[in-house]
Amino acid sequence: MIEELFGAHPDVGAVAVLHGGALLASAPGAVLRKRTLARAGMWLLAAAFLLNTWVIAARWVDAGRPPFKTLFETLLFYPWCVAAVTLAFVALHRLQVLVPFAAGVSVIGLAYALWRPDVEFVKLPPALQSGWFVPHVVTYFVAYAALFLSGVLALLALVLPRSRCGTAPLDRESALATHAHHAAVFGLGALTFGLFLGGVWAKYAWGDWWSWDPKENWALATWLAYMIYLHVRLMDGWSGRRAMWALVVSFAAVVFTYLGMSLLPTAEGSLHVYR
Amino acid sequence: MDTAGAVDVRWTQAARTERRGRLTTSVGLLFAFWVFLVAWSAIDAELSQTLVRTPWVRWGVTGLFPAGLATWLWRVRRSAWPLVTSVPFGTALLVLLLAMTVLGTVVLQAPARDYAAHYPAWLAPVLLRLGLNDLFHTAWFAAFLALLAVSLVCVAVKRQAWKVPMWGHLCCHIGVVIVLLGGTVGRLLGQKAFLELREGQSASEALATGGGTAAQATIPLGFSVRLEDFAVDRYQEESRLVVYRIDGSSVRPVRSLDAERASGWCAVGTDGTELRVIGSKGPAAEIELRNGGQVSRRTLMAGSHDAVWVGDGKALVALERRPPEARAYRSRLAILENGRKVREKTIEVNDPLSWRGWHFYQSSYRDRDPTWSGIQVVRDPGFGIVFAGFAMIGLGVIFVYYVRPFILKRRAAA
Ligand code: HEM
Repeated sequence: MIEELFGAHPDVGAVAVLHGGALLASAPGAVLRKRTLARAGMWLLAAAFLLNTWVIAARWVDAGRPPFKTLFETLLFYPWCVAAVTLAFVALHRLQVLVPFAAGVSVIGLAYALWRPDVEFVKLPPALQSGWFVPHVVTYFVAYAALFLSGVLALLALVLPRSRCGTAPLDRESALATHAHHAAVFGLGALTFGLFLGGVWAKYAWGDWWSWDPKENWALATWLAYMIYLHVRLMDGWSGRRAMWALVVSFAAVVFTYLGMSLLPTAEGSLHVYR
Repeated sequence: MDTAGAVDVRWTQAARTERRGRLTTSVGLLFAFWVFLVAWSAIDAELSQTLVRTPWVRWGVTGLFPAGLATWLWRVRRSAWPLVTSVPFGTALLVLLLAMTVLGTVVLQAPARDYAAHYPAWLAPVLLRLGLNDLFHTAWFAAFLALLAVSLVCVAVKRQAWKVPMWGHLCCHIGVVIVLLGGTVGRLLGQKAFLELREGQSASEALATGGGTAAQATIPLGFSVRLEDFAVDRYQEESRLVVYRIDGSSVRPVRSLDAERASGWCAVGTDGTELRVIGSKGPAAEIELRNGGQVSRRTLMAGSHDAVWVGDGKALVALERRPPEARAYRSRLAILENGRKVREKTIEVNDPLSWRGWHFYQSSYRDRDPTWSGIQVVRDPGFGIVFAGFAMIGLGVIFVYYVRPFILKRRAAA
């Protein structure tokens, strides 16, 4: 049974189950406003995070290289980052509404990972054997996690009737929108450093810091989208709902950069596509 | 953040009016600018083909465009200044740049000769005429980047961005200008070339790469480089027993065992069948399958389409050889000046050699030619500038959102 469901990766299965538990507890907890359930969800997410830490560390040791090479591996690491950033946000701002979303997105990612797993360790090609590899990937995935949360908060600010976003300045009017902004700022800061690290690394590896590769271009487009958000919210009449929409749309760009590359006609020769 | 809100106004009061600028006006103007540039370069390209013998006519005709633009800009300078330094204009410019970047990933970036195979006959010439096959190196894309730099400098001047609470904004904006500057310096003054060497061979010039279709030119380095030694380090060759799951027409690997090292029973198939490796040598492996009390033995050969159906016919086991992939490839390079060896270093991917402004990157190798090494040779005096600009943007963002609020709070308290 376990074999049938989780194949070669029962440990990843356990991480997925814990995330599923966090989702099942925290979602009704948030909707019905049951504190104990919400709390249980948060602790389950923390447990999932710890187990995932172990799974990733073990894989790092077994493979003898950082486990960030393939789509499967990043689908383990993304939930790790989402859980880390979410738990930090919950601790700092008491934003327990984030837990079901964090758990939900992780369940989706992990389910896909289990459905299409790596059955053997993919070897690290020479270009990825670099001290820049880990900081570059970690910075980007932390950014993607924070930007996910900012997208979720922006969406909540848009749909929840009680958060008054209006077109008034964010800071004083809507707590959710303010949190969305904070998460976005943290995320786009990380995005900026990720881009920077990528450029410097490419310079050392190939001699070019930028080569207009499709993945690079989408990373640039995503960064520009968040820069547009920063300016949009300074314009009259744009600081409320419209700025929140900008965050939601920008996160769509993040998703495309991470997962959508293989849909592009130009990505065939790309060096960066997760396969 | 919240308490700083009130004080924020003081530093942004001046910006207040410009924030009301019109986004649609800006988008419209910038789009018109794009159309103008594209038309201009298309006409210029057309004339350069038809007026080969009288280039001055071409310059006269195409020179009218920028002259007209400059005249117009001069006449509207008073209203252009507040527009170009406004937030809506910046937003519009970034939106257009984003659209161009995305366009460059949707349209195939390839030489014109590849276009016939990818696009219908009516579309290919249109895309080529617009320069979309090499979008990021078109004149109009460069013009937009230049416009970005110009407007960012204008913003810095207008906003008196050198005052302390504005340092972050200054860093972000000027950082972008500096990255663009570094990129331009690299393009204008930098050089890129390729070096092919065999062991023992040396060269004092490299083959220029990039920079159009010009006949292959060589670039003198001013010293010579000798390839002392070249080696490819490979991962171990492996034999793997791969278990495939078959559902209808989908076949996907679910397990992979190292045939030389695997031990113990491993579940395969959906009916409780288990497998174990008894022995393996080269391209052959002997396995044992058990299901309940039944045990059977099989020998598998790699690469022979020789696979075993397991149990209920929903799983398949095959032996596969994994060719030894390259783990690293290294060139030991010596730099010679006046026949004397002055420097030696083993380069590999991610670890180049630098000498007198030239950088040597391990770039390629040939499987069938183990003494050959391909080396990318680059000189990029702009990279330090780019690096500094990038760092400025990163630090600027930190300043704007994490340092500035504190400064404003302190000032509010004082
Ligand atoms: C990639 C390019 C750009 C980056 C990284 C960037 C970055 C930033 C940042 C971080 C802010 C601070 C936002 C805030 O206070 O919340 C800002 C503000 C601003 N930006 Fe940009 N920007 C860029 C392009 C532009 C362009 C092209 C313009 C052209 C007009 C522009 C005009 C402005 C203005 C007017 C402000 C408001 C400054 C103030 O409040 O005094 N930006 N920018």
